[in-house]
Amino acid sequence: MNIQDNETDLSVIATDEDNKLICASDNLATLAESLTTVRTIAPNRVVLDPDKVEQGLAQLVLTVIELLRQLMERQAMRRVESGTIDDAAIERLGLAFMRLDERMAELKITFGLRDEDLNIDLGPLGKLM
Amino acid sequence: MSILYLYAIVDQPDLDLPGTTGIDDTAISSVRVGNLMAVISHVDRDSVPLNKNNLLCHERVIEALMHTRAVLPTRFGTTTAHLEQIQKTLEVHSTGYSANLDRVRGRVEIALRVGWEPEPEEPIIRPHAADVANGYDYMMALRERTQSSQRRRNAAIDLAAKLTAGIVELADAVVETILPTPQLLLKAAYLVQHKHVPEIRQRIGALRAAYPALAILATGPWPAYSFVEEGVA
Amino acid sequence: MESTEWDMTDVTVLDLLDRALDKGVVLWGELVISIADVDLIYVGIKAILCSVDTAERMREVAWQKLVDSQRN
Repeated sequence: MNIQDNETDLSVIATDEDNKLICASDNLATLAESLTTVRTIAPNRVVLDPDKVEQGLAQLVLTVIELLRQLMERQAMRRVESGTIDDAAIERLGLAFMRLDERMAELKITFGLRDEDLNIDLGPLGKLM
Repeated sequence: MSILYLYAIVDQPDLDLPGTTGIDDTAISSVRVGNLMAVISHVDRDSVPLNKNNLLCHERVIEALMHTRAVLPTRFGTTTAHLEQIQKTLEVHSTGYSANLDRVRGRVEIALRVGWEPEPEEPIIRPHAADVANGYDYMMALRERTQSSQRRRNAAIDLAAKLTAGIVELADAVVETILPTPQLLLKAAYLVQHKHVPEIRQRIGALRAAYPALAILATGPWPAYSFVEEGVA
Repeated sequence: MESTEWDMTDVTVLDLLDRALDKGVVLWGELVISIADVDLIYVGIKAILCSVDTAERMREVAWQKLVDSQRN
């Protein structure tokens, strides 16, 4: 076994986790959320509590609706910014979004879901909300 | 029931494996296909629970491998009951894995998180139907929110670039996210040749003094978790 | 889950946890969904989401202890 090659000599790696801290400032509380985000499952199993199946499915559905809502809002904003739609159309768009907002609020209450429950992490895109 | 737990993918199959033991103190072994190997151990369980000990075990095996070779660490908790599944994936992705191993050879991952307090204005929240008189006002409120968000994002991008200029220049690759959450200015991982690690440590340490208002957390060196490129097509 | 003593070094463990759970090679992206121990759905997907799990609880406990220790 030949380990002369400098490129593979990685003895700088310590297996002791104490040495892994390069820099930590005093005010780490603002970083708390990023270290407590759960984004993946371990192990690869989602176990649905039979009593909570409805809530789990409602959560999935509302998350998708929230995603669509944001996409639509972004589209609408582009139209508004471009100045290609008149005030009456803006009013109608606004009413539609307001109705959607009210409906989603009702659904969240019905299923006991908070905003945080829909706030999935989209990886490089950041969180949904 | 016994399963196979996977720690990493490596090349140089003729090099010895380290003596480090894995999950539940099991001996590590390998599954070889051509020039690639999956480093595994046989675990006497249905699944490997997530806890501090198992996590550190997983990491220890990977780091022991890194003493002598390039390593693609697998995600924690990767298990299978079927040896063939491992062989198949090594076959199917052999070109990709070999390329990724070359990419990370002699390199480590340095992680950086920077938190900030956004301007002490009201948090940018979405308008609610109940707060506005009509559809037009709702759209205007939405637009104001979009513009505020954009301004904040631009400020964040500029600050992050300033902050990390000295680090990026020492890195072979960078994965970074600006404002993954409103309180987190930057979350980044840097792929760095091991000879640059002392210099990077110094430059990151200097950031604390240069930016006292920011929360800075840097850790490493780690195996190149963020630079493996996913194995699933 | 075993309870362990958490201290200042655990911020690096949390960082590792985040890294090892979210990154690294994904050899197969299968998700098995089960209800009442009956495996129902077998899905091949890349990104896997979950609600409260051991990981979440573990991180919250560790983080709280870290924040508490910093206040003293």
